[in-house]
Amino acid sequence: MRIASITTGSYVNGPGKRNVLHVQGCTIGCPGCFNKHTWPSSGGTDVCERVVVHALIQDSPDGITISGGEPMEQWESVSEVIRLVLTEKPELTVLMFTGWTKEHLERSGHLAEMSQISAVVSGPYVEKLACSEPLRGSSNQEIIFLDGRLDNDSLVLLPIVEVHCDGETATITGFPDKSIRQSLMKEL
Amino acid sequence: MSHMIKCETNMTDRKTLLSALDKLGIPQDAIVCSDTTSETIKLRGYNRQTADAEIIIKRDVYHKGYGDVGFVKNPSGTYSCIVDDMDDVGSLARKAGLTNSPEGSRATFSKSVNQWYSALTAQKALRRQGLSTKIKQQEAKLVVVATG
Repeated sequence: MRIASITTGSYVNGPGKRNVLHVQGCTIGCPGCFNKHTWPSSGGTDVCERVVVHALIQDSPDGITISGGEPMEQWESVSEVIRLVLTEKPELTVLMFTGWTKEHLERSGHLAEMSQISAVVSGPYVEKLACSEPLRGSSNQEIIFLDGRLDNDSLVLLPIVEVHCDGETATITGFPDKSIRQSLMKEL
Repeated sequence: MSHMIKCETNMTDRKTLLSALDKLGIPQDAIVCSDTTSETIKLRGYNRQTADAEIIIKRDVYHKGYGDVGFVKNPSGTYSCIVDDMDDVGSLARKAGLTNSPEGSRATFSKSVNQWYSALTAQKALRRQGLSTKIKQQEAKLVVVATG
């Protein structure tokens, strides 16, 4: 599968400590998208699913989060990663972001295949509806709770943004608004 | 989608760099600074060799290595760590409680200073935006977490 990155120990991409997979490749192309570098399917790195699984379960996370890029454009690989992660660590919750709407997920039949996922944040990013709420980039996006292990209450106190300082680089992740984003980019 | 923006970090602010050294537990009395950012002072290396630096961690006060460890501002305006070739700053890294890594003590020390510098800079920027922040120490990195 094609991936952009794996970030370990995140607290902003769902409840608890989470390891986050950003897949590479997205053809939706939402105007104002802040992850444009994850659009080209030729970018990122080609990695086998088992390697991704190994990285996603390291350091005892409470759950994993799948973002992108567009996970539904690699659904076969993504669903295999989820299956393997939950085979190894059934206690983990799985949260996934997709630019597909709930209706699109239902029509394609994929929503019915997501019974092992705890929550899906669905819908494209709409710049004029941008918001700074936990897990949502814009207010049109809908959170679909699926396996009964996460609910709205578990998302209330989530942070807005976090910065991972590795040494020579820093990775900004989460849901900062334009002003927060610009301030961090200017200072770092 | 959640954001995923990776950027290079550079150390440009003397005050934040000094705060980063403080976070690493280097005592104030081991650090000597030039009076202004446009001046330099002499760092003592192995066998009485010297080099120009703006901030110096004195070997005889703190880490007892082969020489002082310093920071100098490059023409591009970013600070870099200077250390005598005879000393891989292992003594300083050990003293500061940094575990040795395969990349060597010098790289470990520089990386740790840079991590704290970036974390403190991010914290400052986020607080200015009205957010509450916490710095969490994870195995190989620092994570600044901000809530509204």
